[in-house]
Amino acid sequence: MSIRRVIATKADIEKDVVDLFNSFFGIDPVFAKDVYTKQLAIHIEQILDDVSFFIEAPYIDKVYRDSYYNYFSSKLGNYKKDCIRISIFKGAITEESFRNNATVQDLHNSYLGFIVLRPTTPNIIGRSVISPKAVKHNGFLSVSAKVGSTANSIKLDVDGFPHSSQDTETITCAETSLWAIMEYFGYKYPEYKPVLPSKITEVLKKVSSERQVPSKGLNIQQMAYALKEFGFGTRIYGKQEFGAEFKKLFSAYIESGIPIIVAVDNRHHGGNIGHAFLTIGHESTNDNAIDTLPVSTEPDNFIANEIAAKHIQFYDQDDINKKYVFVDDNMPAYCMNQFDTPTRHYTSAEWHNCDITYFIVPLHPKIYLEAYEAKIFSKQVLLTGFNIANNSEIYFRYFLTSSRSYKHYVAQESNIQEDIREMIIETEMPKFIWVAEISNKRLIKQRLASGFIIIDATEANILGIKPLITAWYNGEMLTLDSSTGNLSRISLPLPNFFIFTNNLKGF
Amino acid sequence: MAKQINKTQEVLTKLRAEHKIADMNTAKDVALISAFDKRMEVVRRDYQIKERNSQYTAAKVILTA
Repeated sequence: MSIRRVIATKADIEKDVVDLFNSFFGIDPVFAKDVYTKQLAIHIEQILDDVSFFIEAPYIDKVYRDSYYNYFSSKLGNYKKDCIRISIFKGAITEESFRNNATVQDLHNSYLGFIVLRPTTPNIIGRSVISPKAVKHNGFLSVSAKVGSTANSIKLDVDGFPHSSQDTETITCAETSLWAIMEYFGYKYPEYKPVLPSKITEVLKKVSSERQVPSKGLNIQQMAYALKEFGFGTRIYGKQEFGAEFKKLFSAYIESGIPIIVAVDNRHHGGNIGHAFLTIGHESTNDNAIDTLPVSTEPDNFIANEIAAKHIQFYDQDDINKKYVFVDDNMPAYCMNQFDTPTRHYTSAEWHNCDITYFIVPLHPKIYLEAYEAKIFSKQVLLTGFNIANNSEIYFRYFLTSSRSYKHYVAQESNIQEDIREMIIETEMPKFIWVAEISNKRLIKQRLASGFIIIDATEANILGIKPLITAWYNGEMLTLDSSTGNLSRISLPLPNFFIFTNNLKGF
Repeated sequence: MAKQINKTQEVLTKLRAEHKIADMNTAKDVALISAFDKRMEVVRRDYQIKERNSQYTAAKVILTA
């Protein structure tokens, strides 16, 4: 059987896909149209209007083939083993575009990703990677990985976040979230590798007392366990347990450019929904969000008392009310909602009272100091280590990054005078650091800060100020000699400097 | 000929000569660090309880939808 190839626009893709559903998946044309309307149309609709689609069938998809051989092929029903792949390009394409050396380069530049369609009706959306540039509402900041693919036998790359719908049998929302997060880390970092659905099942065998397929979902602890087995130093945060800090910690990890698994449920409202999806970024921060940011309510008593005693206007960037970018297997990629209404994008009203009740962070295994302790540590260093005048205004921005990425930024931040820049670069740092940038509302609107605190994310011992690497504010620098443990205070003014924005490639 | 670069040492030598570096080893500094440690011990205990309870309760939340 030869591969059928179709070039389509947004205006005619429905007819072509319905035809392929009928000829390759054996779906009755009326039902095929219904599947298109209910499942695929919403994904196509959110894509820019001036795109072309290159559709190929049959297409062998590694993720679906894994589910097929491990599960679907063992059923009586006639499940097909092949998929359909839709590649997306900005602008018009022709058959000749793929065979002319000059225009192939244009294809590389205009490639916006792909959507795989599985024969698992009605849940047909399979492994997909769509560039954020392909969607209409693309004014957001998110993490992404470069994923290789082909279209019409031309090798192409797309920068995006992996996405798939659940087939509800081999993968529910929980397994899909695990798959997507491993797909992202596997493509982005050499120390991880993507996993197939059968691998997730195999890893969880040790902690399952019943059969795992057909899947009945996973609990949060099982998801965290799987991530641990895949090489992460997983942390779980519960809303009830962390209280007021829960939302701030969520924001800090997203600002750190770490995709996190979110658990939403409405059981505390009497419902029976429990759902998992990923959060991978947030909308850009505008001046209005900064202007309307209220003074921070600090759950740590000491910090709250210090702020009150000195009448400090203390603002925490993690309190900014913003929309987050979700990768939800029931929705098209990159849907956006506020933290307090994470499922507002569902049409069914029963979903609207779901809250984020837990989140799971796939930390690098060598990050021993997590966000909660590190953030309180940083705030206490700021408030006790520096002479802060009464009635001062502080805007506190906080994130995790690699020292490699941070030093790369410092090396190019020309607002910092050369000798200070070199001092920061010459400072010994571990692979991962927590960074607090100190600013005020006026400066942060210009993307400027006036001080920073760098904390060793690999130092779990928080006593003796051990995690402190260096702190700089109000014309003074605090530095800890890691070999002797000696702390020094140095009078050395630091000019205002541009904030670090490499984690999410923006602010 | 190889050139050694160590800006930190250059800057610190200059600042020390200008009496702009203070080693934080006075009794007051030690008391400050000791108080800091006491507060961080409380924070750590607080975190450990919250973290363990999160793990414990998370085991009961099934995600299926």
